[in-house]
Amino acid sequence: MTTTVYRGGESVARPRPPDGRRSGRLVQDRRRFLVTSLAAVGAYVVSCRGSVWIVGPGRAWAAEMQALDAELAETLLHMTRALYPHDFLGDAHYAAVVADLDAEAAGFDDKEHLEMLRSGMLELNDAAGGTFTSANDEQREQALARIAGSPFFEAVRGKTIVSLYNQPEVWKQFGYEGPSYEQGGYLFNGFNDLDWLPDPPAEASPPVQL
Amino acid sequence: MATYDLTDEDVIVIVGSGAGGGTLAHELCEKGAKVVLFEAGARQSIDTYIQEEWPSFAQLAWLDKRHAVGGWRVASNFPNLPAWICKTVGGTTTHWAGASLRFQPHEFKDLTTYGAVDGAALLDWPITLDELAPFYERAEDKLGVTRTHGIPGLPGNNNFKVMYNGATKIGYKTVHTGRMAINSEPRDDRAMCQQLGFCFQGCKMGAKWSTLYSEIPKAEATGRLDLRPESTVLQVLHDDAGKVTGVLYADKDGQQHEQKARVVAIAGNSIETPRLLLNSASARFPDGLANSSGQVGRNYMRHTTGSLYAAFEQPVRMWRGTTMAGIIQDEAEHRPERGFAGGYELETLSLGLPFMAAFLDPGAWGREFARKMETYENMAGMWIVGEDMPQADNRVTLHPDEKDDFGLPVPVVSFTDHPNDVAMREHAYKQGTAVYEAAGAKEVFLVPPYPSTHNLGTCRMSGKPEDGVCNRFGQTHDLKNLFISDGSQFTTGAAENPTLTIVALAIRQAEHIAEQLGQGNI
Repeated sequence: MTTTVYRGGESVARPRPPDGRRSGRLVQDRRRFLVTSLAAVGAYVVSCRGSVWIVGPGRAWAAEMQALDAELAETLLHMTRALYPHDFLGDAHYAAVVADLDAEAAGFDDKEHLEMLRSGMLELNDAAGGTFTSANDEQREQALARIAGSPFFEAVRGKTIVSLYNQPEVWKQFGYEGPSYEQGGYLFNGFNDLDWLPDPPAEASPPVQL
Repeated sequence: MATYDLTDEDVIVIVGSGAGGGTLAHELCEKGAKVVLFEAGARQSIDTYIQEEWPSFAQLAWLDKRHAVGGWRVASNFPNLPAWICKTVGGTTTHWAGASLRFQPHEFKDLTTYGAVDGAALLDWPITLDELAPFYERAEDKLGVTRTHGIPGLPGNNNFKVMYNGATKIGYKTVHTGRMAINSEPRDDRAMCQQLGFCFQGCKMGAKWSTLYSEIPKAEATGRLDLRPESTVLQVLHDDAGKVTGVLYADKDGQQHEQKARVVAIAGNSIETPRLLLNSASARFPDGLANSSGQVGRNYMRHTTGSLYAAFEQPVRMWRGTTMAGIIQDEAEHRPERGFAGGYELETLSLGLPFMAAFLDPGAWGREFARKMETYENMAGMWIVGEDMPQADNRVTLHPDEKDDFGLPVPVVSFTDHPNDVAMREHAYKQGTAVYEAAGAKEVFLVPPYPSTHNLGTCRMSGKPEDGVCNRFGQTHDLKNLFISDGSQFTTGAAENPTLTIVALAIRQAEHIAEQLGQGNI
């Protein structure tokens, strides 16, 4: 049993202190299991009479694009997931990122930004040795590594890291509870409910003043 | 609320409404002075604060163009965000976490205590802890600091439980929920902490001290404060005799005005304060105001920081409750046998999921990064805050060509770690890892420094005019009626979070200004 220490992505295995008690596996949250099953179905992109839509499984949701064409929207949908792949997140959350990328591209007066995305996509396809959307997971990761640092890569990565993890529905999947003010804070909602370690003594952690 | 005429030559102009400027404004108003308080940002309230990280960041953070350069990782990951500080009424007291620690005696005497350190521009402060102690007393009372003045400590949250268990297991002795400017019970018309968990986003309970809802309303109640939000001071003006006469500022509509003043005090945080002095260069002061020493903008310090997040087998939910929920102080002393000068504090820290994604390993992507993020619910976190070495070439300068909306050069913040900073951070990473291993961590993530929250030293205090910008009262050596009133005046940075010291210095400076005005010296 070891504790792994990571620095800048590199891991170094360190010996566990002698009393390394807790063994056993992480408990898979049931709600995560359900969502993982759903995510496997996948979203798709349709183009109809000049409109481009990302459509969710079973047409449960759809997002209309303002600037992106179907090929670009589909590539970005796959690219954002490959950048930050969470199996328990449905495509709707990655589609929301693509919608943000689309809104950004639509916000410019000229087409320069959109063309940067389009030429970046072609570069990404080249790096994947065909098309990115038809590549497997391993090929996708390698293709992304080849173009990492390019303006296209950074534009998509920078938007994804903000937009993906900023969705309240995504927070729930990670267990993060977010804003607490409306619920009266965490004072009576578990701020000190951790029970797998002993409570500190009162001089270190005084009782709540009531 | 007062309104003073632009031509009123009796007013005291204060630039910036944070810990230094907001406190100074209140103290001077109580003494009967007429104060015009300029704030570049807008006025928010506990009702308008937002408990979401990105929207709050957009509401409060200083996002005007800046450049980060030098050897620090911030320069590559956040090239336009060297500092995470605020542009809003209340300044960075809206965002601070509330840790309120006095400096240790030796931290006013670094050069004497550490001796000369290669590459470091160490000096002793021109004041001692004994001189500042009565003002620390008053500052602690003003802020309502827990574990002082009979105020109970705050209850610890889950994040603190993990820290406490690990720390005591490896033998640390001084581990508790800290001295915090957060009400553990109702005090001074401020509510008690409800463990909301968004200390960085502005406290919606008003339980955490901020000049926004403490010093500034109290100053307004005197009838002597003229607060001008969304008003950016562009230049400090002076006459032929080398006396400051007022400031040029742009109001919220971009209209420029000259406000006359008897005294000008600058508290714009350690990037904007030197920038304003440099942007005020004139025929008489071609290198910028108060810069005969050449020290304006130099010796930029940001504390030796870094974070550790550890993933456990069971949930921690560190976001619940106060952000800085506890502290380990055993490493704060100067013990050179550790291989570096000075010491550091370890304080719990927590980020919400959105900011964890941005800061855990900036720029990272891929399955391994995603996997680390998936441990979020089981993470505990701590922050290193230690003394860094002042270095002459770590500095704030003006960009050679790039200008802001007012046509003034934007600031460039250059920073590179000193070897002492690196050695201290390595030690702290090792000790923090040991703490979390002892508590049963499966994985520990060593996280590089965030954009700076503690910005210090760029107009430093010195007994001698040739090696510092201001004297023992923050009064500039070159212009008698010009004062530095924020963390820029710090001679060295100490291991402690700076706000309490900024407030203590502001209380002391107010007494000095009142006395000098009374004696007709300024």
